Amino acid sequence: MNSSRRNKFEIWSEVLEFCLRAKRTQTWLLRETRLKTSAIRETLQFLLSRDLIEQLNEGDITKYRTTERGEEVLKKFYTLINDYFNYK
Amino acid sequence: MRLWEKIENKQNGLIQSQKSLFIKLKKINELFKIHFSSLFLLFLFGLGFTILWTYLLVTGQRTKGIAQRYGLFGTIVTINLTVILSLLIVQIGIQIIFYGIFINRGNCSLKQVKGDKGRQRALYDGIVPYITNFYAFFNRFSKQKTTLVKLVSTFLFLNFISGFYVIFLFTRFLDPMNGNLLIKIFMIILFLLALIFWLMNLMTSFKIRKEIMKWEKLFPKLEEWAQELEQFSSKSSILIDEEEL
Repeated sequence: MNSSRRNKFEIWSEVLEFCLRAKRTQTWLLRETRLKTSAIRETLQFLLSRDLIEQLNEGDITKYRTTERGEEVLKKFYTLINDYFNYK
Repeated sequence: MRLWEKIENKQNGLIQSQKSLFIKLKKINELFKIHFSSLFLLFLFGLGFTILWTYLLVTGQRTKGIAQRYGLFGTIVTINLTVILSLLIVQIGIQIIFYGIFINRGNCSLKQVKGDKGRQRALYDGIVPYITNFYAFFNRFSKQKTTLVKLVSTFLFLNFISGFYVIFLFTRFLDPMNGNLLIKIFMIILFLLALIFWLMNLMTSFKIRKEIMKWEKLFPKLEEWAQELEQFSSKSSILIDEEEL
């Protein structure tokens, strides 16, 4: 899948979902999201600025985890989709 | 209620949302799988029928009757029937590739995380990748002035025509088989199977069309969700009601 084709909501929600279960490094996210380095940096920066993920320094390694606020945002994302499939 | 209990409830709410969505997406994925199976069976059936039809034409068993009755016009009609039949089989093949790629990506996305039961967070992975997969398909076809809904509707129409055509020809085909009872029974069973696959395919096509129409309405809402994120700063609390904590 070409990363340039992806919309913001796809990238942001994907990173939030990935960082929800465990702390993730930038390299891990880079591999899983198949984004360019500049794009993943930009995404992480954006999510950090909105307090949706937090940066955790474990020695030399920097990891990212979804914050409670990020969880709420992601929940809203899921709810939006759920609502669409609830009505017949 | 204590603070940690409230946080726990919030997390459970997220897990519930994920679980509910995961189950729904699984069901949608199952629908695509059933549709794919019916397409594949229809394809095999159509291919087998085309081979048999061509064999009878080459050996002259089918052309004799039509040519004797309608002359040159009969021959032209027979050639046309064979060409159309082949084209319909090819289009089913294209649909198999299309849905095959979609299902393959969907299956890769949707996976329940096993051995993670001890954790209370995000047991269901792949919701966003599944949506991304759907969106990628939408984007690809929207650029060509053909939305995915139109494409699926076209597939539905072609499937209707193909199935009808094959079944119609099959009824004409049953005539010379009157001699042997066993062959006749076998051909009737084949005919009924083709009919079932065709109807199954039409039903799943309708359901898929309905689902895709829902997705078409949903994507602008998800784009709005992203715009909303862009607009709120780190200090604003549009989405979180701090008082609840």
